[in-house]
Amino acid sequence: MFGQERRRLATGVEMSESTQIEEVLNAYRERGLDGRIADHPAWHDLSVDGRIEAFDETLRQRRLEQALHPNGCSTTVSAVMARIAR
Amino acid sequence: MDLDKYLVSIAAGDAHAFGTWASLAEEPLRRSLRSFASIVDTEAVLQEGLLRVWQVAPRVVEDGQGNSLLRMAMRIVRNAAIDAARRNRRQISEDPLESSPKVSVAPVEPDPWLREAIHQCRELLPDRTRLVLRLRLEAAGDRPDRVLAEEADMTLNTFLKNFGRARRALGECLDKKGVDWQRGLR
Repeated sequence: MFGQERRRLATGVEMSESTQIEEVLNAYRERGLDGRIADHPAWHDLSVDGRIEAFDETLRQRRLEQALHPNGCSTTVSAVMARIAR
Repeated sequence: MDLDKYLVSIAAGDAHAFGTWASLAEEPLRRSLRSFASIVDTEAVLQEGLLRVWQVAPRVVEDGQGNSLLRMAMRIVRNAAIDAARRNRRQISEDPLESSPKVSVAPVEPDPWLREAIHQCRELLPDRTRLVLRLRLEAAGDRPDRVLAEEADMTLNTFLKNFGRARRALGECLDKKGVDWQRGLR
């Protein structure tokens, strides 16, 4: 069960783990200094159980996104295609 | 379904064909990373892996067994996950390639009934949760939640809580309709 533990982020804002999981579900990822796609900062704040939960919820969320998109693209694929187009 | 039917076009640099291939390949690729979920950010790994697949696709040769590119992509994303784990200095206590369950390489095809049901359920969401869901979808992974929250005139915390409510409400609505939208995911 998540959401019980509240964590203080680097910004000083307190956020529950369940809320941080919602943030990790976003497909938005920045480029790291090495040029690779970087981890979501909130992912590093999650517990082991929270990371597994985020993975399972992402699977569900992407399936819904694919079903809603006119071309069947999840936000993950859309983000990748946007990088290819740049 | 053999996704290699897109291989010639992808190898020729057809980004649209790659987008179609990636949409059908995404779920099996992501599921193949489950054993890494606690040690790497699998979303970042998957995106990096898909970019590498796009780069190597022109050199992929069909081997006659079907889904040649998808099978190569599985190797690419799993190697990317191992590299990411090493960068995070995470100990891989057992070989994830050995410990993970067999993942089907079968691509996942779209379900028109699921699409219709989700549209119906989305219309039932309260305004604020529907707004948050729409902003996330329209951003298509190109904007952080901090920016989306400003667009919604919400704090980040409120935006994320509303997103969670939207996801839960959609799931409950689909369950009530008897839609097996989590097939193979439980």
